Amino acid sequence: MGSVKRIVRNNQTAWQQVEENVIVVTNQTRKMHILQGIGGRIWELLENSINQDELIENIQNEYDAPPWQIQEDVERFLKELSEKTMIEIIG
Amino acid sequence: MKTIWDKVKQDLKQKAIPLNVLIELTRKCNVNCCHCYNFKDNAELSFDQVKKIAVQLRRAGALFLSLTGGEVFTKNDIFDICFYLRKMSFDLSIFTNGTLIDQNNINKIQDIGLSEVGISIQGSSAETHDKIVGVKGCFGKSINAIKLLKSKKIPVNLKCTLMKDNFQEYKQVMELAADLEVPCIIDPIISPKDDGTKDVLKHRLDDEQLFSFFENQLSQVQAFDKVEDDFTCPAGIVMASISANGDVYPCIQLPEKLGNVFETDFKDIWTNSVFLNKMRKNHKIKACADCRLIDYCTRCPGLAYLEDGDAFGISSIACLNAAIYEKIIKGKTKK
Repeated sequence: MGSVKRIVRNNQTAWQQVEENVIVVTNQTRKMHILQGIGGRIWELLENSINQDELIENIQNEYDAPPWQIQEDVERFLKELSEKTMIEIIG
Repeated sequence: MKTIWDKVKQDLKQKAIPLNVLIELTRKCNVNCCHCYNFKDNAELSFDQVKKIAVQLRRAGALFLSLTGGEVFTKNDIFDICFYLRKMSFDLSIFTNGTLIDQNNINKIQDIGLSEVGISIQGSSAETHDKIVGVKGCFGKSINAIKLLKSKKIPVNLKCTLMKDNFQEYKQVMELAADLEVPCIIDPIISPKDDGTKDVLKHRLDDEQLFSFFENQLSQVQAFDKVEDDFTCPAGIVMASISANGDVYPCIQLPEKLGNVFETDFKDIWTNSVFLNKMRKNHKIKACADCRLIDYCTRCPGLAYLEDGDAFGISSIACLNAAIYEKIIKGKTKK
């Protein structure tokens, strides 16, 4: 059975995409983060609340790597974003 | 070792992305500071106008917006504006005198998600502060605002313009900030008014006071970093300013009008301005090329423009400050 986790950007962040970089500022920690490449693409996909499986599937379709590898990497990345208060994982 | 952020910053600078934009929401003000540089024409931006500006700024790459005035909380639509800008994912800070922040609106201010609120405090006593801002009772209200903001965990700092009128108590202002547990920014810069008149400069510290202030501030500094170029200032490169009637400037302190956002898109103004492109070329100031004080110089193109008539020329106040810095630093070295 698939994950029912939904991912949303933390609305306390501020961000801007400047060419290939996404600059994210977290209000709680006042830290600046730079997302590049797939990280930036994931941030883009979080424009609206999205199911974690759906997000992973999108990345699997867009990037050339073993699906299990992408799943692991994306899950780890989302956990990191959550720890840095950039996103909220619901469910 | 350079971090990713260092590399991104360099890239932003090279591409002149206006990451930081100061928006003058209104020139209306409920106080009357003796050293104010602003026009007194009550111009202000409507909520609809701010929305148009925000869309243009987003497209141009802006991230950090600072709202200033006049006094921004005199605007009835200030909360609509702030919530809208935050919804557009801008990082938002506000400069205010704090007199209109109270128990009735503090929760709403907290909800905005501001990254910083700068409160101007011009003295450590009500007598000095109220005299400078021209309205009795302001000091207590501004201090109360700082306490309220702190109680809601909203980042707040105390900003003080140092002048002859409050010089005698700037150390007490620093102590006040320490007591309130907020950062303190003391700035001795007083600019000529935007209409070109210079009578406000009479409030500037004299040389002896400047020396004393810089000496105190530099007590932890061993030497100045060598100035790499004459335009280390971010104005016109990664920093822009938009006035209460939509005029675009490199900086609020450099009132060289580049265009108006209600006539031309901000990005076009920012990209195609002849003045900005000249600033960005990073060329040396010819008149300063052989100056022995160059290592101590913190030249501001805006003050050079306002006081000496040429953003690309000598800044007399920078020359004065540099001479003082040199004297202090050399004095420290001799010891």
